[in-house]
Amino acid sequence: MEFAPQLYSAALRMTRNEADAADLVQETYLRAYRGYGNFSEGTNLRAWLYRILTNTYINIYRARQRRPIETDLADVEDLYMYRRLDTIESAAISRSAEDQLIDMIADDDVKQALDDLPEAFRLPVLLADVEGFSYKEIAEMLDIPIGTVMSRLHRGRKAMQKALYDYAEAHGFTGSADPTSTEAADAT
Amino acid sequence: MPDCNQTLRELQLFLDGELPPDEHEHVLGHLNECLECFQAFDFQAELKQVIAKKCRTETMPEGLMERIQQCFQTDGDAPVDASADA
Repeated sequence: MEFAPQLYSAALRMTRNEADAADLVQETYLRAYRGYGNFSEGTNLRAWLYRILTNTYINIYRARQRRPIETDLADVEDLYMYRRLDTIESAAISRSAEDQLIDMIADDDVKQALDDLPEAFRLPVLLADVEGFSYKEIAEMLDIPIGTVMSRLHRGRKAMQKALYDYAEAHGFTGSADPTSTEAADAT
Repeated sequence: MPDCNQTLRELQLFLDGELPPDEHEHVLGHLNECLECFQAFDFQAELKQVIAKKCRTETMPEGLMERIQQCFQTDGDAPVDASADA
């Protein structure tokens, strides 16, 4: 049961609803318990549980939504956040804006940005960036080719970065609040 | 010196630890010499850590652990959500 809290956090990002997340974790353990005979010693227990979690989510909750899987996502340029910072910081050799931006990212912003991704992108980003699984493990869990995992990760992350940057701006981030950055600019 | 564009194209694979060892070394070598690429990689690496950390803070609802343990004790065939029909 040591993985239950982690599984619940992941389930909540999948279902985006506490009651469904709790049911999903319970159903995952039930299926794991029944299928334990198929678990071979030496394989990764955590990855095995996440595979059951992901399959259960896809089978039960996706079917319930009865909507086609969205695989479309607006295109965002590479290194979106970093490029914005680059514009802000062009005159000053300072990392203050960078640190300020990172500090401004709140827990709820990250969760919201992830929750807002279409499922085809949300699951790979969740499994890679939050849960730390390899491309191969994610490909097996989602039953898609590794190349598809990579491209969805790439696009999903970019969309998340844009959302996080927009939230930071809404929280008042301008990149120039730190007075030391203007001093550094004057010195050049 | 290896091309910056080439290095940036490998950023995602590098940070995900998915590059073959020799290519990983190659990117590391470039990052040691190129401050611009290093800063871009450093920012992305930090952002990745922040995202992971901030999404792991959920607490399990009270009673869920007990619910899971219960369904092991009462045999795996018990309905998942008996309370809904009661």
